[in-house]
Amino acid sequence: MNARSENRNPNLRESVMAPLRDRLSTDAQFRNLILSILAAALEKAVYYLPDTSFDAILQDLLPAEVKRLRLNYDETQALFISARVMRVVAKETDKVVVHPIQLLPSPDRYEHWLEKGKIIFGQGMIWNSIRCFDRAIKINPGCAEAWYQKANSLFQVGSITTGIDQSASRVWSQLDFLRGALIEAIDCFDRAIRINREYTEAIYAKGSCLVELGRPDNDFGRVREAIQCFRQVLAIDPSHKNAKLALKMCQDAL
Amino acid sequence: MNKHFGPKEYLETLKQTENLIAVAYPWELIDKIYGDSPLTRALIQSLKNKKPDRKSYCEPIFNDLVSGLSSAMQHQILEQVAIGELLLRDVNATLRKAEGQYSGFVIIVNRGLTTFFYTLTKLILARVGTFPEWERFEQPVLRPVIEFDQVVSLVHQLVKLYHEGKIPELPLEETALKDERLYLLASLQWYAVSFVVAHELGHYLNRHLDRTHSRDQEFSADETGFIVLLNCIYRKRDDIEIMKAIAGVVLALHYIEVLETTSGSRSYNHPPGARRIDRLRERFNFPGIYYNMADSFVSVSRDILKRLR
Repeated sequence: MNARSENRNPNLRESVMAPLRDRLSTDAQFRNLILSILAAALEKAVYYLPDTSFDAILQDLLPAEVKRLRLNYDETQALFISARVMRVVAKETDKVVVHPIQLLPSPDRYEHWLEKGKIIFGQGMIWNSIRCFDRAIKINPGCAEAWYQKANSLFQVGSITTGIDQSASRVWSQLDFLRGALIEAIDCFDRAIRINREYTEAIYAKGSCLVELGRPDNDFGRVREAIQCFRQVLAIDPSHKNAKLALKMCQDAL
Repeated sequence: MNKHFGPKEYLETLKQTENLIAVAYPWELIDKIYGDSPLTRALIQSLKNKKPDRKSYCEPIFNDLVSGLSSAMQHQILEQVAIGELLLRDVNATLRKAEGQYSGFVIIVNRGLTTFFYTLTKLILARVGTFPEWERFEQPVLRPVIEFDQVVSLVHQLVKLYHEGKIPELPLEETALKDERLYLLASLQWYAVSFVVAHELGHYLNRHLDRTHSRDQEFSADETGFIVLLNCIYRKRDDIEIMKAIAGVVLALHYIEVLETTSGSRSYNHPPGARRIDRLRERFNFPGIYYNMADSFVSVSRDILKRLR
Protein backbone atom coordinates (compact mmCIF):
# COMPACT_ATOMS: atom_id res chain seq x y z
CA MET A 1 0.00 0.00 0.00
CA ASN A 2 2.83 2.38 0.84
CA ALA A 3 4.61 1.82 -2.47
CA ARG A 4 1.37 2.45 -4.30
CA SER A 5 0.50 5.57 -2.45
CA GLU A 6 3.94 7.04 -3.16
CA ASN A 7 3.57 6.43 -6.86
CA ARG A 8 -0.02 7.46 -7.26
CA ASN A 9 -0.90 10.05 -9.79
CA PRO A 10 -2.43 13.16 -8.23
CA ASN A 11 -4.72 13.63 -11.23
CA LEU A 12 -6.00 10.12 -11.06
CA ARG A 13 -8.46 10.89 -8.30
CA GLU A 14 -10.15 13.54 -10.40
CA SER A 15 -10.13 11.34 -13.51
CA VAL A 16 -11.81 8.60 -11.51
CA MET A 17 -14.32 10.84 -9.88
CA ALA A 18 -15.50 12.63 -13.03
CA PRO A 19 -17.24 9.68 -14.72
CA LEU A 20 -18.26 8.35 -11.33
CA ARG A 21 -19.96 11.60 -10.52
CA ASP A 22 -21.87 11.47 -13.79
CA ARG A 23 -23.07 8.00 -13.06
CA LEU A 24 -23.93 8.92 -9.50
CA SER A 25 -26.09 11.77 -10.64
CA THR A 26 -27.93 9.81 -13.33
CA ASP A 27 -28.13 6.22 -12.10
CA ALA A 28 -30.21 6.23 -8.91
CA GLN A 29 -29.75 2.52 -8.23
CA PHE A 30 -25.98 2.77 -8.48
CA ARG A 31 -26.01 5.83 -6.27
CA ASN A 32 -28.03 4.12 -3.56
CA LEU A 33 -25.76 1.11 -3.60
CA ILE A 34 -22.62 3.19 -3.26
CA LEU A 35 -24.20 5.40 -0.64
CA SER A 36 -25.24 2.53 1.58
CA ILE A 37 -21.88 0.80 1.28
CA LEU A 38 -19.96 3.92 2.07
CA ALA A 39 -22.23 4.98 4.88
CA ALA A 40 -21.47 1.64 6.53
CA ALA A 41 -17.73 2.12 6.07
CA LEU A 42 -17.95 5.64 7.39
CA GLU A 43 -19.96 4.56 10.37
CA LYS A 44 -17.13 2.29 11.43
CA ALA A 45 -14.38 4.71 10.58
CA VAL A 46 -15.56 7.59 12.71
CA TYR A 47 -15.38 5.54 15.86
CA TYR A 48 -11.66 5.38 15.59
CA LEU A 49 -9.64 7.85 17.56
CA PRO A 50 -9.36 11.22 15.92
CA ASP A 51 -5.62 10.87 15.58
CA THR A 52 -5.93 7.97 13.17
CA SER A 53 -5.95 9.14 9.59
CA PHE A 54 -8.58 7.94 7.14
CA ASP A 55 -5.82 6.52 4.95
CA ALA A 56 -4.55 4.22 7.67
CA ILE A 57 -7.92 2.65 8.39
CA LEU A 58 -9.19 2.58 4.83
CA GLN A 59 -7.76 -0.82 3.93
CA ASP A 60 -8.99 -2.49 7.07
CA LEU A 61 -12.48 -1.16 7.06
CA LEU A 62 -13.38 -1.35 3.44
CA PRO A 63 -16.47 -3.54 3.21
CA ALA A 64 -16.42 -6.66 1.09
CA GLU A 65 -18.89 -5.10 -1.36
CA VAL A 66 -16.42 -2.40 -2.31
CA LYS A 67 -13.65 -4.94 -2.63
CA ARG A 68 -15.83 -6.88 -5.04
CA LEU A 69 -16.08 -3.80 -7.27
CA ARG A 70 -12.32 -4.20 -7.75
CA LEU A 71 -11.53 -0.55 -7.45
CA ASN A 72 -7.92 0.44 -7.02
CA TYR A 73 -6.53 2.36 -4.11
CA ASP A 74 -7.15 5.84 -5.49
CA GLU A 75 -10.61 5.00 -6.64
CA THR A 76 -11.62 3.59 -3.29
CA GLN A 77 -10.08 6.47 -1.47
CA ALA A 78 -11.91 8.98 -3.63
CA LEU A 79 -15.13 7.10 -3.11
CA PHE A 80 -14.62 6.79 0.57
CA ILE A 81 -14.00 10.46 1.04
CA SER A 82 -16.82 11.58 -1.15
CA ALA A 83 -19.10 9.46 1.00
CA ARG A 84 -18.74 11.94 3.81
CA VAL A 85 -20.18 14.67 1.69
CA MET A 86 -22.71 12.50 -0.02
CA ARG A 87 -24.08 11.32 3.28
CA VAL A 88 -24.56 14.82 4.57
CA VAL A 89 -26.00 16.09 1.33
CA ALA A 90 -28.19 13.05 0.76
CA LYS A 91 -29.92 13.82 4.02
CA GLU A 92 -30.86 17.30 2.86
CA THR A 93 -31.65 16.85 -0.79
CA ASP A 94 -32.13 14.18 -3.38
CA LYS A 95 -29.13 15.31 -5.34
CA VAL A 96 -25.61 14.05 -4.82
CA VAL A 97 -23.11 16.86 -4.83
CA VAL A 98 -19.41 16.40 -4.38
CA HIS A 99 -17.61 19.49 -3.23
CA PRO A 100 -14.00 19.64 -4.45
CA ILE A 101 -12.69 20.51 -0.98
CA GLN A 102 -14.11 17.32 0.42
CA LEU A 103 -12.15 15.30 -2.10
CA LEU A 104 -8.96 16.43 -0.38
CA PRO A 105 -9.17 14.84 3.04
CA SER A 106 -5.77 16.06 4.03
CA PRO A 107 -5.37 16.15 7.82
CA ASP A 108 -3.60 19.50 7.33
CA ARG A 109 -6.93 21.12 6.54
CA TYR A 110 -9.11 22.31 9.36
CA GLU A 111 -12.25 21.27 7.43
CA HIS A 112 -11.16 17.67 7.80
CA TRP A 113 -11.15 17.90 11.60
CA LEU A 114 -14.28 20.01 11.78
CA GLU A 115 -16.19 17.50 9.67
CA LYS A 116 -14.85 14.52 11.60
CA GLY A 117 -15.57 16.17 14.94
CA LYS A 118 -19.16 16.83 13.97
CA ILE A 119 -19.70 13.23 12.93
CA ILE A 120 -18.13 11.91 16.13
CA PHE A 121 -20.23 14.31 18.20
CA GLY A 122 -23.31 12.95 16.44
CA GLN A 123 -22.34 9.47 17.60
CA GLY A 124 -22.13 10.62 21.21
CA MET A 125 -18.35 10.52 21.67
CA ILE A 126 -18.15 13.98 23.18
CA TRP A 127 -14.55 14.16 24.39
CA ASN A 128 -13.20 12.68 21.17
CA SER A 129 -15.13 15.29 19.19
CA ILE A 130 -13.58 18.00 21.34
CA ARG A 131 -10.15 16.67 20.42
CA CYS A 132 -11.06 17.00 16.74
CA PHE A 133 -12.28 20.58 17.15
CA ASP A 134 -9.09 21.38 19.01
CA ARG A 135 -7.10 20.17 16.01
CA ALA A 136 -9.23 22.31 13.70
CA ILE A 137 -8.73 25.35 15.94
CA LYS A 138 -4.98 24.73 16.07
CA ILE A 139 -4.81 24.81 12.27
CA ASN A 140 -7.19 27.73 11.86
CA PRO A 141 -7.83 29.71 15.05
CA GLY A 142 -9.99 32.12 13.05
CA CYS A 143 -12.65 29.54 12.29
CA ALA A 144 -15.72 30.64 14.23
CA GLU A 145 -17.53 27.37 13.57
CA ALA A 146 -14.76 25.28 15.15
CA TRP A 147 -14.98 27.37 18.33
CA TYR A 148 -18.75 27.13 18.28
CA GLN A 149 -18.69 23.35 17.85
CA LYS A 150 -16.14 22.90 20.63
CA ALA A 151 -18.23 25.06 22.91
CA ASN A 152 -21.32 23.05 22.03
CA SER A 153 -19.56 19.80 22.98
CA LEU A 154 -18.44 21.29 26.29
CA PHE A 155 -21.97 22.56 26.89
CA GLN A 156 -23.22 19.02 26.39
CA VAL A 157 -20.66 17.74 28.93
CA GLY A 158 -21.68 20.31 31.51
CA SER A 159 -25.43 20.05 31.06
CA ILE A 160 -25.91 16.33 31.74
CA THR A 161 -27.27 17.24 35.13
CA THR A 162 -30.42 19.02 33.96
CA GLY A 163 -32.65 16.35 35.51
CA ILE A 164 -31.03 15.93 38.91
CA ASP A 165 -32.77 16.74 42.17
CA GLN A 166 -32.40 19.74 44.45
CA SER A 167 -29.80 18.45 46.90
CA ALA A 168 -27.66 16.99 44.12
CA SER A 169 -27.81 20.38 42.37
CA ARG A 170 -26.52 22.08 45.48
CA VAL A 171 -23.48 19.80 45.45
CA TRP A 172 -23.09 20.26 41.70
CA SER A 173 -22.18 23.90 42.17
CA GLN A 174 -19.16 22.73 44.20
CA LEU A 175 -17.81 20.48 41.46
CA ASP A 176 -14.87 22.04 39.68
CA PHE A 177 -14.78 19.91 36.54
CA LEU A 178 -18.46 19.73 35.68
CA ARG A 179 -18.88 23.44 36.30
CA GLY A 180 -15.55 24.11 34.62
CA ALA A 181 -16.83 22.55 31.40
CA LEU A 182 -19.64 25.14 31.22
CA ILE A 183 -17.28 27.99 32.03
CA GLU A 184 -14.90 26.78 29.31
CA ALA A 185 -17.86 26.49 26.94
CA ILE A 186 -18.83 30.12 27.55
CA ASP A 187 -15.24 31.13 26.86
CA CYS A 188 -15.32 29.25 23.54
CA PHE A 189 -18.69 30.76 22.57
CA ASP A 190 -17.12 34.16 23.22
CA ARG A 191 -14.23 33.33 20.90
CA ALA A 192 -16.67 32.33 18.16
CA ILE A 193 -18.74 35.51 18.67
CA ARG A 194 -15.61 37.67 18.64
CA ILE A 195 -14.76 36.29 15.18
CA ASN A 196 -18.30 36.56 13.86
CA ARG A 197 -20.34 39.20 15.68
CA GLU A 198 -23.58 38.12 14.03
CA TYR A 199 -23.25 34.44 14.89
CA THR A 200 -26.75 34.09 16.31
CA GLU A 201 -26.49 30.35 17.08
CA ALA A 202 -23.39 30.97 19.18
CA ILE A 203 -24.92 33.93 21.03
CA TYR A 204 -28.13 32.02 21.70
CA ALA A 205 -26.20 28.94 22.90
CA LYS A 206 -24.05 31.13 25.16
CA GLY A 207 -27.23 32.45 26.75
CA SER A 208 -28.54 28.92 27.33
CA CYS A 209 -25.19 27.95 28.79
CA LEU A 210 -25.34 30.88 31.24
CA VAL A 211 -28.82 29.86 32.32
CA GLU A 212 -27.59 26.31 32.94
CA LEU A 213 -24.63 27.60 34.91
CA GLY A 214 -26.76 29.84 37.10
CA ARG A 215 -29.62 27.40 37.62
CA PRO A 216 -28.36 25.10 40.41
CA ASP A 217 -27.52 27.86 42.88
CA ASN A 218 -30.05 30.48 41.66
CA ASP A 219 -27.34 32.81 40.40
CA PHE A 220 -29.42 35.68 38.99
CA GLY A 221 -26.31 37.48 37.75
CA ARG A 222 -25.87 34.73 35.19
CA VAL A 223 -29.53 34.94 34.21
CA ARG A 224 -29.18 38.69 33.60
CA GLU A 225 -26.16 38.03 31.40
CA ALA A 226 -28.21 35.42 29.54
CA ILE A 227 -31.01 37.94 28.98
CA GLN A 228 -28.50 40.26 27.33
CA CYS A 229 -27.46 37.43 25.01
CA PHE A 230 -31.04 36.65 23.99
CA ARG A 231 -31.74 40.34 23.36
CA GLN A 232 -28.61 40.51 21.23
CA VAL A 233 -29.85 37.56 19.16
CA LEU A 234 -33.24 39.23 18.67
CA ALA A 235 -31.57 42.48 17.62
CA ILE A 236 -29.82 40.61 14.80
CA ASP A 237 -32.66 38.23 13.97
CA PRO A 238 -36.05 39.43 15.32
CA SER A 239 -37.74 36.19 14.16
CA HIS A 240 -35.58 33.89 16.32
CA LYS A 241 -38.30 31.88 18.09
CA ASN A 242 -36.09 30.08 20.62
CA ALA A 243 -34.48 33.32 21.74
CA LYS A 244 -37.93 34.88 22.28
CA LEU A 245 -39.02 31.91 24.37
CA ALA A 246 -35.81 31.80 26.39
CA LEU A 247 -35.95 35.54 27.01
CA LYS A 248 -39.49 35.26 28.32
CA MET A 249 -38.57 32.36 30.60
CA CYS A 250 -35.58 34.25 32.02
CA GLN A 251 -37.64 37.38 32.65
CA ASP A 252 -40.29 35.30 34.41
CA ALA A 253 -37.61 33.69 36.58
CA LEU A 254 -36.37 37.10 37.69
CA MET B 1 -12.81 20.24 67.38
CA ASN B 2 -10.38 18.16 69.38
CA LYS B 3 -7.97 16.57 66.93
CA HIS B 4 -7.32 13.54 69.06
CA PHE B 5 -10.97 12.57 69.06
CA GLY B 6 -11.77 13.06 65.41
CA PRO B 7 -13.25 10.61 62.89
CA LYS B 8 -9.91 8.92 62.15
CA GLU B 9 -9.43 8.03 65.77
CA TYR B 10 -12.97 6.75 65.94
CA LEU B 11 -12.30 4.53 62.96
CA GLU B 12 -9.21 3.12 64.66
CA THR B 13 -11.23 2.21 67.73
CA LEU B 14 -13.81 0.52 65.51
CA LYS B 15 -11.12 -1.50 63.81
CA GLN B 16 -9.83 -2.65 67.15
CA THR B 17 -13.20 -3.79 68.41
CA GLU B 18 -12.98 -7.51 68.98
CA ASN B 19 -16.34 -8.62 67.69
CA LEU B 20 -15.65 -7.11 64.31
CA ILE B 21 -12.53 -9.16 63.88
CA ALA B 22 -14.22 -12.32 65.09
CA VAL B 23 -16.45 -12.60 62.02
CA ALA B 24 -13.81 -11.42 59.62
CA TYR B 25 -11.77 -13.43 57.17
CA PRO B 26 -8.22 -14.36 57.96
CA TRP B 27 -5.94 -11.96 56.14
CA GLU B 28 -4.07 -14.55 54.11
CA LEU B 29 -7.25 -15.85 52.54
CA ILE B 30 -8.46 -12.36 51.72
CA ASP B 31 -5.25 -11.73 49.90
CA LYS B 32 -5.79 -14.88 47.93
CA ILE B 33 -9.26 -13.85 46.80
CA TYR B 34 -8.89 -10.15 46.61
CA GLY B 35 -5.49 -9.53 45.17
CA ASP B 36 -4.93 -12.89 43.58
CA SER B 37 -2.28 -11.40 41.40
CA PRO B 38 0.23 -8.73 42.37
CA LEU B 39 -0.37 -7.30 38.91
CA THR B 40 -4.00 -6.55 39.70
CA ARG B 41 -3.03 -4.53 42.68
CA ALA B 42 -0.34 -2.75 40.72
CA LEU B 43 -2.84 -1.97 37.96
CA ILE B 44 -5.41 -0.66 40.37
CA GLN B 45 -2.81 1.61 41.86
CA SER B 46 -1.48 2.68 38.51
CA LEU B 47 -4.96 3.86 37.56
CA LYS B 48 -4.46 6.74 39.87
CA ASN B 49 -0.67 6.74 40.18
CA LYS B 50 -0.94 6.31 43.88
CA LYS B 51 1.57 4.60 46.09
CA PRO B 52 0.62 0.91 46.40
CA ASP B 53 -1.33 0.24 49.54
CA ARG B 54 -1.36 -3.40 50.48
CA LYS B 55 -4.48 -3.44 52.52
CA SER B 56 -7.01 -1.08 51.08
CA TYR B 57 -7.66 1.22 48.17
CA CYS B 58 -10.61 2.90 49.78
CA GLU B 59 -8.49 5.78 50.95
CA PRO B 60 -7.02 6.66 47.54
CA ILE B 61 -10.53 6.39 46.10
CA PHE B 62 -11.88 8.73 48.75
CA ASN B 63 -9.07 11.25 48.28
CA ASP B 64 -9.61 11.15 44.55
CA LEU B 65 -13.34 11.82 44.88
CA VAL B 66 -12.79 14.66 47.30
CA SER B 67 -10.04 16.28 45.24
CA GLY B 68 -12.55 17.32 42.58
CA LEU B 69 -14.62 19.39 45.01
CA SER B 70 -14.23 23.08 45.75
CA SER B 71 -11.41 23.73 48.21
CA ALA B 72 -13.72 24.90 51.02
CA MET B 73 -15.75 21.72 50.79
CA GLN B 74 -12.62 19.59 50.52
CA HIS B 75 -11.28 21.08 53.69
CA GLN B 76 -14.54 20.48 55.53
CA ILE B 77 -14.80 16.87 54.40
CA LEU B 78 -11.23 15.93 55.16
CA GLU B 79 -11.69 17.39 58.64
CA GLN B 80 -14.97 15.67 59.40
CA VAL B 81 -14.99 12.40 57.48
CA ALA B 82 -12.66 9.41 57.63
CA ILE B 83 -12.84 6.28 55.51
CA GLY B 84 -11.74 2.74 56.21
CA GLU B 85 -12.41 -0.88 55.47
CA LEU B 86 -13.62 -3.27 58.12
CA LEU B 87 -13.05 -6.99 57.84
CA LEU B 88 -16.74 -7.82 57.89
CA ARG B 89 -18.34 -10.20 55.44
CA ASP B 90 -21.38 -7.96 54.86
CA VAL B 91 -21.82 -6.77 51.30
CA ASN B 92 -22.44 -3.14 52.15
CA ALA B 93 -20.99 0.20 53.19
CA THR B 94 -22.26 2.73 55.71
CA LEU B 95 -21.90 6.30 56.83
CA ARG B 96 -21.70 6.28 60.61
CA LYS B 97 -21.73 9.17 63.06
CA ALA B 98 -18.89 8.96 65.59
CA GLU B 99 -20.09 8.08 69.07
CA GLY B 100 -18.99 8.92 72.58
CA GLN B 101 -16.13 11.34 72.91
CA TYR B 102 -15.41 11.24 69.18
CA SER B 103 -16.64 13.69 66.59
CA GLY B 104 -17.22 13.54 62.84
CA PHE B 105 -18.30 10.73 60.53
CA VAL B 106 -16.77 7.58 59.16
CA ILE B 107 -17.50 5.83 55.90
CA ILE B 108 -17.10 2.12 56.42
CA VAL B 109 -16.68 -0.17 53.45
CA ASN B 110 -16.89 -3.80 54.47
CA ARG B 111 -14.41 -6.23 53.03
CA GLY B 112 -17.34 -8.44 52.03
CA LEU B 113 -18.43 -5.81 49.52
CA THR B 114 -15.07 -5.41 47.85
CA THR B 115 -14.43 -9.15 47.61
CA PHE B 116 -17.93 -9.87 46.35
CA PHE B 117 -17.70 -7.17 43.68
CA TYR B 118 -14.25 -8.26 42.67
CA THR B 119 -15.06 -11.94 42.36
CA LEU B 120 -18.30 -11.44 40.50
CA THR B 121 -16.81 -8.91 38.08
CA LYS B 122 -14.03 -11.32 37.42
CA LEU B 123 -16.44 -14.15 36.63
CA ILE B 124 -18.49 -11.93 34.32
CA LEU B 125 -15.37 -10.72 32.53
CA ALA B 126 -14.15 -14.29 32.15
CA ARG B 127 -17.39 -14.99 30.31
CA VAL B 128 -17.60 -11.82 28.22
CA GLY B 129 -16.87 -12.34 24.59
CA THR B 130 -16.39 -9.54 22.17
CA PHE B 131 -19.10 -6.94 22.31
CA PRO B 132 -20.27 -4.59 19.58
CA GLU B 133 -18.62 -1.39 20.75
CA TRP B 134 -15.38 -3.00 21.76
CA GLU B 135 -13.85 -3.43 18.32
CA ARG B 136 -14.57 0.14 17.34
CA PHE B 137 -12.19 1.45 19.95
CA GLU B 138 -9.31 -0.69 18.72
CA GLN B 139 -9.51 -2.79 21.83
CA PRO B 140 -8.36 -6.37 21.52
CA VAL B 141 -11.12 -8.85 20.85
CA LEU B 142 -12.02 -10.80 23.96
CA ARG B 143 -12.99 -14.44 23.91
CA PRO B 144 -14.70 -16.20 26.79
CA VAL B 145 -12.15 -17.80 29.10
CA ILE B 146 -14.51 -20.38 30.53
CA GLU B 147 -17.66 -22.22 29.57
CA PHE B 148 -21.06 -20.83 30.44
CA ASP B 149 -22.03 -23.80 32.62
CA GLN B 150 -18.84 -23.45 34.58
CA VAL B 151 -19.46 -19.76 35.24
CA VAL B 152 -23.01 -20.51 36.35
CA SER B 153 -21.82 -23.08 38.86
CA LEU B 154 -19.05 -20.78 40.14
CA VAL B 155 -21.47 -17.88 40.61
CA HIS B 156 -23.90 -20.26 42.27
CA GLN B 157 -21.20 -21.35 44.74
CA LEU B 158 -20.14 -17.78 45.38
CA VAL B 159 -23.62 -16.47 46.05
CA LYS B 160 -24.54 -19.47 48.19
CA LEU B 161 -21.46 -19.07 50.35
CA TYR B 162 -22.17 -15.39 50.81
CA HIS B 163 -25.71 -16.01 51.91
CA GLU B 164 -24.56 -18.69 54.33
CA GLY B 165 -22.02 -16.31 55.76
CA LYS B 166 -19.10 -18.50 54.80
CA ILE B 167 -15.83 -17.71 53.17
CA PRO B 168 -15.92 -18.19 49.40
CA GLU B 169 -13.17 -20.41 48.09
CA LEU B 170 -13.19 -20.39 44.35
CA PRO B 171 -10.80 -22.16 42.03
CA LEU B 172 -9.31 -18.91 40.86
CA GLU B 173 -6.67 -20.43 38.64
CA GLU B 174 -9.38 -21.51 36.24
CA THR B 175 -10.61 -17.98 35.83
CA ALA B 176 -7.21 -16.31 35.66
CA LEU B 177 -7.49 -13.21 33.54
CA LYS B 178 -4.74 -11.70 31.47
CA ASP B 179 -3.70 -8.37 29.98
CA GLU B 180 -6.58 -6.23 28.74
CA ARG B 181 -9.22 -8.07 30.64
CA LEU B 182 -7.30 -7.77 33.88
CA TYR B 183 -6.87 -4.07 33.32
CA LEU B 184 -10.58 -3.76 32.64
CA LEU B 185 -11.26 -5.69 35.85
CA ALA B 186 -9.10 -3.27 37.80
CA SER B 187 -10.91 -0.28 36.27
CA LEU B 188 -14.37 -1.69 36.85
CA GLN B 189 -13.55 -2.59 40.43
CA TRP B 190 -12.11 0.87 41.01
CA TYR B 191 -15.21 2.61 39.70
CA ALA B 192 -17.68 0.24 41.35
CA VAL B 193 -16.11 0.81 44.77
CA SER B 194 -15.77 4.52 43.94
CA PHE B 195 -19.50 4.69 43.41
CA VAL B 196 -20.21 2.99 46.72
CA VAL B 197 -17.91 5.44 48.50
CA ALA B 198 -19.40 8.35 46.56
CA HIS B 199 -22.91 7.21 47.52
CA GLU B 200 -21.97 7.34 51.21
CA LEU B 201 -20.29 10.68 50.65
CA GLY B 202 -23.56 11.73 49.01
CA HIS B 203 -25.40 10.95 52.25
CA TYR B 204 -22.93 13.16 54.09
CA LEU B 205 -23.13 16.00 51.55
CA ASN B 206 -26.93 15.86 51.55
CA ARG B 207 -26.87 15.85 55.35
CA HIS B 208 -28.72 12.55 55.72
CA LEU B 209 -27.28 12.00 59.13
CA ASP B 210 -29.71 9.50 60.64
CA ARG B 211 -28.77 5.87 60.99
CA THR B 212 -31.41 4.67 58.52
CA HIS B 213 -32.32 6.44 55.32
CA SER B 214 -35.57 6.76 53.45
CA ARG B 215 -35.92 5.60 49.88
CA ASP B 216 -35.84 9.17 48.57
CA GLN B 217 -32.67 9.81 50.50
CA GLU B 218 -31.07 6.75 48.92
CA PHE B 219 -32.00 7.93 45.42
CA SER B 220 -30.72 11.37 46.22
CA ALA B 221 -27.42 9.98 47.55
CA ASP B 222 -27.09 7.96 44.34
CA GLU B 223 -27.44 11.11 42.26
CA THR B 224 -25.11 13.17 44.38
CA GLY B 225 -22.56 10.37 44.52
CA PHE B 226 -22.76 9.89 40.78
CA ILE B 227 -22.08 13.53 39.97
CA VAL B 228 -19.16 13.58 42.41
CA LEU B 229 -17.74 10.52 40.64
CA LEU B 230 -18.41 11.98 37.19
CA ASN B 231 -16.67 15.17 38.16
CA CYS B 232 -13.63 13.09 39.00
CA ILE B 233 -13.68 11.21 35.70
CA TYR B 234 -14.27 14.26 33.56
CA ARG B 235 -10.86 15.47 34.59
CA LYS B 236 -9.47 12.79 32.25
CA ARG B 237 -11.43 14.09 29.25
CA ASP B 238 -11.80 10.61 27.80
CA ASP B 239 -14.94 8.90 26.50
CA ILE B 240 -13.70 5.36 27.13
CA GLU B 241 -12.96 6.19 30.75
CA ILE B 242 -16.52 7.50 31.17
CA MET B 243 -17.88 4.28 29.68
CA LYS B 244 -15.80 2.21 32.07
CA ALA B 245 -16.99 4.31 34.98
CA ILE B 246 -20.64 3.99 33.99
CA ALA B 247 -20.12 0.24 33.60
CA GLY B 248 -18.62 0.15 37.11
CA VAL B 249 -21.54 2.10 38.58
CA VAL B 250 -24.16 0.00 36.82
CA LEU B 251 -22.42 -3.21 37.88
CA ALA B 252 -22.24 -2.05 41.51
CA LEU B 253 -26.01 -1.51 41.50
CA HIS B 254 -26.57 -4.69 39.56
CA TYR B 255 -24.73 -6.74 42.22
CA ILE B 256 -27.26 -5.55 44.76
CA GLU B 257 -29.88 -6.93 42.39
CA VAL B 258 -27.93 -10.22 42.26
CA LEU B 259 -27.96 -10.50 46.04
CA GLU B 260 -31.67 -9.62 46.18
CA THR B 261 -32.75 -12.12 43.56
CA THR B 262 -30.66 -14.97 44.93
CA SER B 263 -31.59 -14.50 48.57
CA GLY B 264 -35.29 -14.16 47.81
CA SER B 265 -35.79 -11.46 50.40
CA ARG B 266 -34.42 -7.99 50.64
CA SER B 267 -32.52 -7.36 53.83
CA TYR B 268 -31.47 -3.84 52.85
CA ASN B 269 -32.97 -0.45 53.42
CA HIS B 270 -32.00 0.44 49.88
CA PRO B 271 -34.42 0.52 46.96
CA PRO B 272 -34.10 -2.41 44.55
CA GLY B 273 -30.89 -2.37 42.51
CA ALA B 274 -32.62 -2.49 39.12
CA ARG B 275 -34.80 0.47 40.06
CA ARG B 276 -31.74 2.47 41.05
CA ILE B 277 -30.08 1.81 37.69
CA ASP B 278 -33.22 2.96 35.86
CA ARG B 279 -33.43 6.06 37.99
CA LEU B 280 -29.86 7.11 37.19
CA ARG B 281 -30.56 6.56 33.50
CA GLU B 282 -33.64 8.73 33.67
CA ARG B 283 -31.88 11.54 35.44
CA PHE B 284 -28.63 11.75 33.46
CA ASN B 285 -29.04 12.40 29.78
CA PHE B 286 -25.90 10.77 28.45
CA PRO B 287 -25.47 9.76 24.84
CA GLY B 288 -26.70 6.16 24.53
CA ILE B 289 -23.27 4.95 23.49
CA TYR B 290 -21.96 5.54 27.00
CA TYR B 291 -24.17 2.77 28.33
CA ASN B 292 -23.20 0.13 25.80
CA MET B 293 -20.33 -1.34 27.77
CA ALA B 294 -22.39 -1.51 30.95
CA ASP B 295 -25.26 -3.15 29.07
CA SER B 296 -22.99 -5.85 27.68
CA PHE B 297 -21.76 -6.84 31.13
CA VAL B 298 -25.15 -6.72 32.76
CA SER B 299 -26.70 -8.86 30.02
CA VAL B 300 -24.03 -11.54 30.60
CA SER B 301 -24.76 -11.41 34.30
CA ARG B 302 -28.53 -11.59 33.77
CA ASP B 303 -28.06 -14.69 31.61
CA ILE B 304 -26.19 -16.30 34.48
CA LEU B 305 -28.88 -15.22 36.95
CA LYS B 306 -31.64 -16.76 34.83
CA ARG B 307 -29.91 -20.11 35.10
CA LEU B 308 -29.50 -19.79 38.84
CA ARG B 309 -33.23 -19.51 39.47
